[in-house]
Amino acid sequence: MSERPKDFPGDAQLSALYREHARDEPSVEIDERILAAARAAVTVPVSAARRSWWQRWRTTLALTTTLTLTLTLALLQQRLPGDSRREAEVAPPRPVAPGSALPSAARDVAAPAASAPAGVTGDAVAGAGAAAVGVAPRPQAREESSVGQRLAQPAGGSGPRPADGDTPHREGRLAGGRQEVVPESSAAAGKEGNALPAAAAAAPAAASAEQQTAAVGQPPAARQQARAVAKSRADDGRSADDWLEEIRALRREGRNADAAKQLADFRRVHPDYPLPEEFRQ
Amino acid sequence: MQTDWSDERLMLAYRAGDANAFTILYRRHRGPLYRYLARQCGSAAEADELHQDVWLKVVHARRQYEPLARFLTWLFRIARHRLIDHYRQHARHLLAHYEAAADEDAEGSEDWIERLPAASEEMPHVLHERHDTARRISLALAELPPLQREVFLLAEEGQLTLEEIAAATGCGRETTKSRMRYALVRLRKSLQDLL
Repeated sequence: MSERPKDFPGDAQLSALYREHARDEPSVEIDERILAAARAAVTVPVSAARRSWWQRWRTTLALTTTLTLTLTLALLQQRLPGDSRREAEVAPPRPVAPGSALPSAARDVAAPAASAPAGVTGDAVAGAGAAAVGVAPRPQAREESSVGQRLAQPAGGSGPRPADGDTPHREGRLAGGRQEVVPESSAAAGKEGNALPAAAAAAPAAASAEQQTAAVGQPPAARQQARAVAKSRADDGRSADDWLEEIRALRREGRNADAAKQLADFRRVHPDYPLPEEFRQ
Repeated sequence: MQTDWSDERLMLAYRAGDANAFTILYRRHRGPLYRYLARQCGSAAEADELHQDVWLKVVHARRQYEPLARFLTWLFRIARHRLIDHYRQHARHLLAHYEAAADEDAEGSEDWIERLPAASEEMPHVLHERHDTARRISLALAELPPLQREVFLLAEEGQLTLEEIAAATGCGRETTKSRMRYALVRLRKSLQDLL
């Protein structure tokens, strides 16, 4: 209370009377409302003041973690198909079971990750790689031999041109070719050095012959369509025509055994492809 | 003890975020401010509303508060402005007297003071309890011209000096002194038998 100056026109009696009877006050509800508003005005919001670093950053952390996981999974998914293809390339072609038709073999090649034929699994397939490669051409070689044709071509011209995704074993076969010109049948027999059971060889040979006959017997439109399909269904990025060209090159180099094996592989991959005249012998 | 702090220190503490300081400040001045408003507007319900508005203005204006003058001067100035707003909405004839008095000398105010309506017509609740002493005091106050009543109430309820009342009402010191003198004469006359 301030000191009142002497010239203040006060009246002590009147003042005392007034103060004695001045008892009016605001209601308790009004008091509570005002005090609550005053407290609320200076109270720091709990959400801003008491939140720990974890509460403040948890949304960001969750988003970052989710993003990282998603990216990792996406990268893994990208890598997986490539790995399976690489495995398929490394893995040798499975032997064609006696009695099975060629299209089924073609399906195996088209889907390399598919299960191996019954009775041939895991290491057995890998271990029988070279033999499996050699099994298919043999009947064809016999067929060619039976026709009596000799696939002797002068060496020269452009060499074999392995495709980008060509496999080691295929490269090995191409590199391991010989320059001497020998009859296909004797070359195949001499190279493999083992005789196949007649029953095992007869079925694929018959199937191959049927395929060839069927292909030859197709109408021109169907043949063209098949050729287009075969072209589009490239093996390791290599079209059927390119493959045939490579086989021609092998023949020109005199590597008839390799050429025969390539041709057999080609027939497995492209059973519906109408072979040019020179390969039908 | 925080209860011994001055009003200004408490208000500064509240500005800094101490809600208890405001509670002490409020409990110290809730009665005087309420009575000032109740005597001036003449209605308990309106006084409640005005009282709440004034204190909420204090809460909202805390950041701008500077102890350049006494807290009570600042508080009653806010109350007076709110009261004038109230007159503007509900009693424009009283507002006209306030506006006219702003430029008028206290000695020349006798004319419009005499023309003021009887307080009993505006305050039925005061008439209703006429026989009680407190009510007689209220009636005597209600019969005062608003500006005289205002000065008396600021001096009694707010314990303001002439200079502080002059600052709160925007009038000169001498004008305030005259209004105070007139108010005391009238009250003494009305309450003579009680003194």
